[in-house]
Amino acid sequence: MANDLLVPVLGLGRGEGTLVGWYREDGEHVSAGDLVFCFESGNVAVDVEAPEDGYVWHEASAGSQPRWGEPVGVVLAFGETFIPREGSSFAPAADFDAPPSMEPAAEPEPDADESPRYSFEEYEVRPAPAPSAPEPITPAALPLLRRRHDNEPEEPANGFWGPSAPGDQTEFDSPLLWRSASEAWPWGRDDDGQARRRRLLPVRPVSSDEDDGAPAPFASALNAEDDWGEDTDGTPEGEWEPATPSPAAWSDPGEGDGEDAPPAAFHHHPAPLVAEPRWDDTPPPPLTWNFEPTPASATWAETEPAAEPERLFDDGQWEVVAEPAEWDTPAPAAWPPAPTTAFAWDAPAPGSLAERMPSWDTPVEAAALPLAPLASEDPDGDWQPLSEEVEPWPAAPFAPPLEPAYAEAEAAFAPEAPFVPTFEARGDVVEPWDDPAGNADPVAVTLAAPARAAALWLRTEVPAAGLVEVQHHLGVEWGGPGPGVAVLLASAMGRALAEFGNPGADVLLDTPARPEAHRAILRAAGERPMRELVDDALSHCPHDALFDCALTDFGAAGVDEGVAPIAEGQPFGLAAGSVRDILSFVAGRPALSPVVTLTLSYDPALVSPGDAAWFLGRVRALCEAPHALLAA
Amino acid sequence: MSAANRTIKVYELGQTRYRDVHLLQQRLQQQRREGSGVDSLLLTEHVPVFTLGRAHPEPKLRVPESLLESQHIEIVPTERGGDITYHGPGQLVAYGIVDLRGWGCSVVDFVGGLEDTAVSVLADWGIVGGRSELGRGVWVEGRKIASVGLNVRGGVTMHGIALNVDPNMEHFQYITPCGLEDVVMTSLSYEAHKAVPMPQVIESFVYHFRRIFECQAEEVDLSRARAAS
Repeated sequence: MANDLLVPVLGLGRGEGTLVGWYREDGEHVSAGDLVFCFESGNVAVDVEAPEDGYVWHEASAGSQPRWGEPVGVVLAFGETFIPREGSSFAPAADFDAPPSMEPAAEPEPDADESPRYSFEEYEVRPAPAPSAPEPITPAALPLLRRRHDNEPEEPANGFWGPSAPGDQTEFDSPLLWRSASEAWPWGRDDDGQARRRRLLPVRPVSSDEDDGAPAPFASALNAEDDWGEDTDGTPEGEWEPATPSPAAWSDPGEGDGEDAPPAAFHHHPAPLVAEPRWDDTPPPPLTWNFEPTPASATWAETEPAAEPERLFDDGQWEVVAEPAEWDTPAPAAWPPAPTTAFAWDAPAPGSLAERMPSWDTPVEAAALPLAPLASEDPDGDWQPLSEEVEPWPAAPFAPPLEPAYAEAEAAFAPEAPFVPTFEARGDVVEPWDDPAGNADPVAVTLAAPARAAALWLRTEVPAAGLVEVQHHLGVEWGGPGPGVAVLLASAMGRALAEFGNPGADVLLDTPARPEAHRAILRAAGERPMRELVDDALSHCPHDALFDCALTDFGAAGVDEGVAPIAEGQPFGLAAGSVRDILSFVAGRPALSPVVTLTLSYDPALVSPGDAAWFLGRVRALCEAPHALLAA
Repeated sequence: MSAANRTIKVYELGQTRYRDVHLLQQRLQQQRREGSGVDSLLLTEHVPVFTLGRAHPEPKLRVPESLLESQHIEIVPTERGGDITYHGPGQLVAYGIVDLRGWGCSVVDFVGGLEDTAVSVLADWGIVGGRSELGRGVWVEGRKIASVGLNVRGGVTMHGIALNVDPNMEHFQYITPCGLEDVVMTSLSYEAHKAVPMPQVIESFVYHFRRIFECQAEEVDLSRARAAS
C-alpha cells in the first residue's frame, strides 16, 4: 500500500518551508526508518523517515516550498504503480510505468561549478539494519547490562521484565543475580553450564495486599525458569509457572493475549508474588563458629525459639532475608561468664608484685585504679553514668604537648612558596654528581644516586561505569576494541596535569604485567584525540625515554590496586587497579557497580598534600564523567 | 506545557572545539534514536567558529576567507536549520538532545521553550527580551541576542540555542548573521551595562530550563574545576 511522504507540521513560521533535499534517489529502495528527505522551516531542519519498506518516488524537487502537511513523495510497495496526483506538474525522474525495482533512477551528473564548497557530509543516510535476534548474554556483554540498568526505567522490547521464554537468558533484571549465579556460587551452574537464577537471595514481597505499584524486577528473575530440582506444585519443567495460583497474579490483561501471556510475576507491573522462597534442594553448608564453649554456658540453641530469618533489606515492598544458619555450637547464656579458674598460671608468691596486682577477684575499691570518678552506685545497685560533679581524670604527666608537635609537622609539610612543577628531572635519568676531583666514576655515581623519591600516597575508589561505557561506545564506533581503561585514565591524568600548570604533559603508560611487560609514552595525553593516544599506547618506548608522569597499570595483571613508584623530581605517579564490581545499592536495590582503585604517589617535598588531593580528585572527576575526555 | 516524567542530564563542557561537540551530539542523537542513551543538555562555549545551516551551504561572508584563515576561524557545515552564525568564547551554547516523543513535546513547544528560557535568563539581569517578526531567536528592542537552530531526526533533537553573554562582537561583522542583512547583534553584558559572569548565566539557564520544561535535571559539571584552576 502506498504511503504518502508528508511534510511535517512544525508550527513554526508561516506554514511553509523548504524541501532541502532528498536522501534517497527517485525509485530507490528504502527500509522503514531510513531517512528520506529533509525539510526546513523556521530554523528547524527535520529529517523525515520512511514509514515502511518500499520504493521512494519524488513528487517535489529539492528547493521547492511545500506547505505543512503536503505530500512531497510516496513510498510504494513492490509491484505498485505510481499514479500522479491531480494537478501535480512534477515530473519524476523515472518512468513510472516500469516496475520500480527494474528501473533504477539515472544518476544526474553533478555540475562541478554548482556544487557548494561547504557541503554537509551526511553521517548517517543508510543506517545499518537492526539485528534481528538479540545476542546471548556473555560476560563480555555485562557493561551493556549495567548501562541499561543505570538508565532505567527503560521498557524492554517485549514489554516484560524477565526472560521472554524458558531458557532465555537475554533478559536479566539484575546483573547481580546473573553474576552471582554464574560465578560466585559453585553450585550455581547446571551440568550444561546454564546459570541458575534461584537460591541466591530469597526475595519476597512483604505481603501481597500491601502491593502498591512498585516494579518487581528481582522477583521476576528469581521466580522465573524454575529448573532447579523438582517443582513444588507439579508444573512441568520448562513451563511458565504462575508465581501464585491466585487469579490476581494475572494483572493488566490488556497486554497479554490469553493463554500465551506470561503470568504477572514476570511482568514489569507489580503483582502479588510468591509468598515464600521455594527451597527445594540441599542447603549450602552451614556456618560454624570455632570458639571453645565455656563450661558455664547453657544450651542456648535449645532454649531459643526457632530463629527468624534475618532481614537484610526491607524497603516496605521487598525484603531480602537470609536463611538462619544452623547453630551447631551453643552460645554462652550470660555475659560475662562466671570465672571458674581465674588464670592458668601458678598462684603468685605471697607479698610478690604479682600478688599485689589487681585480678578478677579484686574488689573495685581495693584496686589501685581511679575508677571512682567513673561511676557511683545508686540504691538499686546499678551503675550510673558519669556526672559533671565528679573529678576529671588526672592528666597523665608524660602527655606530650600536642599542638606544637602538630604545628611542627604541618610546617614540615607545607612548602614555603606555592609549588610550580618544573618537570626537569624526568624518568630514570640520573644526573652525575659534581665531583671536585673531576674523576667521577659513572658506575659509582649511578649506584649512589638516589633514583627513587620518598613518596606518600593517596587512594580512592572511582566509579568506572562511565569509563566502561565510553570504552564500549568507542569500540562500537571504531569497529574494534575501544581504548583501554588505562588509556582513558592517562588522558584524564594529562588533563589534570594541564590544569595543574603543565600543559602538554607526556604520560608514561607502564604495564608491568608479565609476560608482556610494556611501556609506552602518550605524548600530550591531555590534548590529543583518543584515537591517537591508542596508537601511542600500542607503540613501545625505550626504558630511558623522557616523560612527565607515569601511570602504572596494575589492572592488566588483574591486581586490584597498587602503589606506583616515582622517580626523583617527579611530583606524581598514578597507579590504577583492575576494574572490578562491587555491590552497592542503587535506588534502594542491590546492584553491581564497576569501580577502579586509583593510588596517587606524590613527593611531599614537591607537592603539598592539598595539591595532591586536588589532583587526584580532578582525575576522579574526569573518570566519573569521561565524555569530557572526548572533547579537546 | 504538559508535565511528564522528563529527566535530562546537563553537561557543562567548558570551552570546546565545535567539531568535537558536533560529533558528540551526532553520537548522542543516534543513541537516542536507537532507544538507548539519555536526554542530554550540553552547555559549552566554543572556540571561534562559523557554522552553516543545512539549507545554506554557501557562507555569507563580508570579509575574504583568507582573513578567517589568518585568524584560525573554521567554517563548519552542519545539519541544523537556519543560516550562518558565529560561536565563540563568551557565548553560551545549549544543545538539547531530547526525544520529543518521550517528553510529549512538539517541535514548536521545544523551540519556544528554548527561547523562553533565554528570555527568562535575560530577565534575571533586568533585560526585557522577546520574539520578533524578523525571525526566530530572542531579540532585545530589535537587536538579536540569541539564535536558534535545530535538527530533528526520528523525533530526537540536536543543536539548540546560542545566547550572547559577552562574545567578541567584532566577529559577527565578518558574516551576515542568520542571513539577515540589517540585523544588529547584541550581548547580555552590553544590554546590562556590566560584566556578566558566565557561571551565573549557566546557573540561571539550567534553572529556567528546568522550570519551563518541568523536567528533572541532573547536572554534570565538567568545567568548574577547570575554571577554578
